[in-house]
Amino acid sequence: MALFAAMASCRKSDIDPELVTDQQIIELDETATEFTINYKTNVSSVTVIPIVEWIKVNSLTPTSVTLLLQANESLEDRKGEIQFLYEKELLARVVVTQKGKVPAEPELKGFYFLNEGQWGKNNATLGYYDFSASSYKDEWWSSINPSVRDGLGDVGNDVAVSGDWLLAVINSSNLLEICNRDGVHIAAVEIPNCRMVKIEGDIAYVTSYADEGYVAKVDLNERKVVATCKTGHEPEGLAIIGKTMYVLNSCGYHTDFTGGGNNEEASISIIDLESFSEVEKSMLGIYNAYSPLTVLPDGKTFFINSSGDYNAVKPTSILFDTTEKKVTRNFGFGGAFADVFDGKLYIFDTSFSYTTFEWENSNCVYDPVSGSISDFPVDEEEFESYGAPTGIWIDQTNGDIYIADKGNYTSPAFLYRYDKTGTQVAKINVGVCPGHLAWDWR
Amino acid sequence: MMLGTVISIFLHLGLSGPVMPLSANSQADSLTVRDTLDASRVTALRSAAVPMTTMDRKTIEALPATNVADAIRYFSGVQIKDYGGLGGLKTVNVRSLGTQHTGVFYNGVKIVNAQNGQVDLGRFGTDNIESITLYHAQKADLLQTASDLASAASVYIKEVEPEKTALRASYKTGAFGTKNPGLYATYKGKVRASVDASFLQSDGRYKFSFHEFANDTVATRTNGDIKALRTEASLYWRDFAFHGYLYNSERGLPGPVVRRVSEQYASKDRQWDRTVFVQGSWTKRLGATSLLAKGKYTRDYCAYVQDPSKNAAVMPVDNRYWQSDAYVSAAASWQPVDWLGAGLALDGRRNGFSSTAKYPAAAAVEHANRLTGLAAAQLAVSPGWGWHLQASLLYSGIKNSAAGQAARYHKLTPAVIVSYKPAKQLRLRAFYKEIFRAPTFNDLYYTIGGRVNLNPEYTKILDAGADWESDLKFLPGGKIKLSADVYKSKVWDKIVAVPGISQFRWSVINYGKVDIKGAELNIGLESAIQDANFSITASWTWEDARDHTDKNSQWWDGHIAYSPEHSGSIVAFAAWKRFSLSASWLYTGKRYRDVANTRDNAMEPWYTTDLSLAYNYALGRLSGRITIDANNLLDQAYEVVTRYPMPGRHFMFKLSVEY
Repeated sequence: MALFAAMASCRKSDIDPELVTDQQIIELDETATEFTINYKTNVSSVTVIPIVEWIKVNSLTPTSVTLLLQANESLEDRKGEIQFLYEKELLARVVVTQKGKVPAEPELKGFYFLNEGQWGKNNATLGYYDFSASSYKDEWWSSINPSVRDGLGDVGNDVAVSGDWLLAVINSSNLLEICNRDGVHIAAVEIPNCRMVKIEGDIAYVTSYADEGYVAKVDLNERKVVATCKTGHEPEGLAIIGKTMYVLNSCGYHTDFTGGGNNEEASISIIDLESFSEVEKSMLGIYNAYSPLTVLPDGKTFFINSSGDYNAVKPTSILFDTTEKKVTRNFGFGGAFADVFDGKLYIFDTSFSYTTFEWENSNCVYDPVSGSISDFPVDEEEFESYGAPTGIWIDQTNGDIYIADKGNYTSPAFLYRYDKTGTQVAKINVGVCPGHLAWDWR
Repeated sequence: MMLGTVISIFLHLGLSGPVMPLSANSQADSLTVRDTLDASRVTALRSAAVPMTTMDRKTIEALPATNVADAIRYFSGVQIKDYGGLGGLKTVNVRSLGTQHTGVFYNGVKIVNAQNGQVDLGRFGTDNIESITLYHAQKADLLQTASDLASAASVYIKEVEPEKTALRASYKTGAFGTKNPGLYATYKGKVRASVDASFLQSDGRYKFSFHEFANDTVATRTNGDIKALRTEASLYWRDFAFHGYLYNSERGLPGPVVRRVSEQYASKDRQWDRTVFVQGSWTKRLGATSLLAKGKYTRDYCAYVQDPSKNAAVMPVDNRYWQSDAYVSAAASWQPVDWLGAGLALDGRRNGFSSTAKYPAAAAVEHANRLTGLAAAQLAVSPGWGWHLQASLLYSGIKNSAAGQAARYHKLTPAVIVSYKPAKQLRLRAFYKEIFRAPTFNDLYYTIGGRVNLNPEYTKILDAGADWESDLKFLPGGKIKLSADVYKSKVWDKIVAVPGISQFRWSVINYGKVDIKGAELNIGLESAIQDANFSITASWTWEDARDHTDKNSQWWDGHIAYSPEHSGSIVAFAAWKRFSLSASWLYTGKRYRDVANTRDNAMEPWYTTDLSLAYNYALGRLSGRITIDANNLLDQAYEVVTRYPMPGRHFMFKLSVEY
């Protein structure tokens, strides 16, 4: 067994497999029945996989591959992909489309759903909910990528989708998982203690607690970190408005949970994307800002949660105006999870009180125009059967509200779906510690 | 000296009576190297009024066991949680009731960890251990401390008592870069004394393999190194016994095996431990009355460090913990006539705890203390016709306090033991016991999740069993022993710590309810032909432990985590002249790592096969033993704790020289 291990590592380091094709996109004529891709490679053998059934490999030489199109395929659906693999490693992809086809209005097809898993158990899962089939598959990612060693990893912390990229931040595995939209593993980029991700074109920005806090800039085509920008302590949520990036420095490690009061104040790092450097830091007057940066419909205001120190400093939530660079409202109640729908902010928060030993809900709907706060559509009683409610996501097409429940934190749990009036319409079996969702618009 | 209890008179069964961990004269002497080894005492089956298993010096020596956890794995109904390697935490859980319900006694005095309730059995070497005994419920002795009655099951680890003046040096080496020199000196005069020092060093590196999805992974475990120095001294004088213990260690904590891109962010966590204790006991028999007094003082120090300058991926942690345990006990038994006896015991204990922990991931309060008062009364009746009845009542008063928050517990818990011996070879027995465990400091004062209004975790156990033994005429020196038990228990208000919506939010709650039923079967066979003797012991446990916490949960009625339905072991031992060979086989069936009994949470069954070959030599005034151990001979890849792979095939060599 030791011998095999030595051979495996030798092979990996000696050859860096590469493959270059003569075209990245092939547009098919209506009359086309076959096509050829020429390629160059430094490895002895490649595997060519058309990932749609209507393309078959006809002949394969060391420099070219000829593919046949199945005749009875509807032309409308001619959108596919050819993959070149070496030893299960993806070397190149060629996209196949119908010539002259006008892209349709994006449609909400479903959502990607990341379950954190239990720390140390390496059981994070990335599932997919398909609206057309009304079904959720929790082992979606793992069934597409059975050969990725050790699976998705330990403690999923964020998921994002944009363009052809699907990304998952796997915190305790210290990596950013890069997939294409269909969930096919492309690469994993190592980022220690990574937290949240935003995608801008072919670039991903990932916050990291490591080295006193920074944002990593990942070139998704090059599959590596190309630059870093120092932020404040324990950066969590991030948002991009124009050419500026905002990073919330939670100072979670610098919060004194013993009640001693040595809490470091949370802040926002304002980063110029072109120079990729911090230009300013705005103090927020809150502590332990364990939160994403939720952008309000005005496009310039963030909603931010503060979890407090679990002692004298109580949870709260604030609004931060990016043009004035200041806090414009302090709500006085926690807002761990929030999403925007129809111009309003749906705030969902249950925090454990260490004085009453009960879960306290502060769920509500905030109207940024009038400044008023109204009742949350889902009845409070609904959450009594929950183990630990976590996360809220709203379907922008119909106002359906999704709320996850972590249950007992160790077993597969549920994602609840309510319509906009707050009536439960579905209870979906998901993975362990459900927590992060990304909508699949196509 | 067997104290005059009803038990020792009444329940003696052929070969050997129940083992008395504090009996003043032990029968075995590890310093005596016999020309011909005797396998007859290897078999772990003995008869007692409660289900018990014991392993004596011979067995411990014959097994390839480095620490107490390695040896106790072979007992039926025992689940060892083992994080792998010589430095990995090893705790014992009996019949799925939970680690904190199992009392661990070292030389007769209970080891207490008030912070988390766990005792690491990996810290007790087997070199000078006379016996390891597991009692379910409690020993059926009238003269014992109240602490002896205060667990659902108890493990007694007893050190060898000096029987002559001698000096022994030993050296063990082999896999994982292990270097383990030991020195042991005994003196027998007006007093008897022993001094024992052992140093253990290991780099903890081992290859492991994993099979998951479509992958086979082969990698090397790192940061599992350990350096530990253990020094002990004992003194026996008249009715007194004193014992001192010092343990100093530094180790790496390798962490779970999870997906990684490279090894640069693999765990580099370090832990330092220092334990020092002194204990003394006194026993005296005055006619029908026997008296017992014990005392112990312990100080524990632990430092746990995660250093971001060594591993950028971690949260900075530099936590120090200090614990103290001061304990006194007085007990008396009175047996005026053969058929009646009574016992009384009174224990007092103070546990102190200090911590510098700032982060809730491992934090309790800065200072906490616990006062425990235990009082026990026992009554035993042997009306004749083979019957024996014993009942005990234990009062526990516990006060935990920290920063003005006090949590008090008062409970009366009974136990009843019944035994009936219709024939010389057969004993039928049953017991019923109620017991609880108080929340630990971590449960109560965990800065973020602890809550002082936790209820204690309560357990009820019912057990019925039989022991049978017979000579086997067709085998020379042949004997067979059988022991079987069925049991049923229930745990209420199980204390569970669950992580909250951020990694900083945990909560500790009274959550669980568990129903357990099981059956155990033990068979022992032995035989002796001229210079050779053989023994074989097999044990099998069937258990069904289910979570009945929340009827509305989709995981209601699931098997609780790490409770296999089937488990078993076979230990075979053969000795011929100066050679001895032991082969041991251990099996743990399919179990789940979570109460959600999904395919993903199912853990593969595993078995390991170990061999140990020893040769006893004598060279003039020197004598000694050469041992070769082959562990996990078939190189099985397995995990006891999920994502903590265990070592594959590995070898150890040991040489001892005695003068």
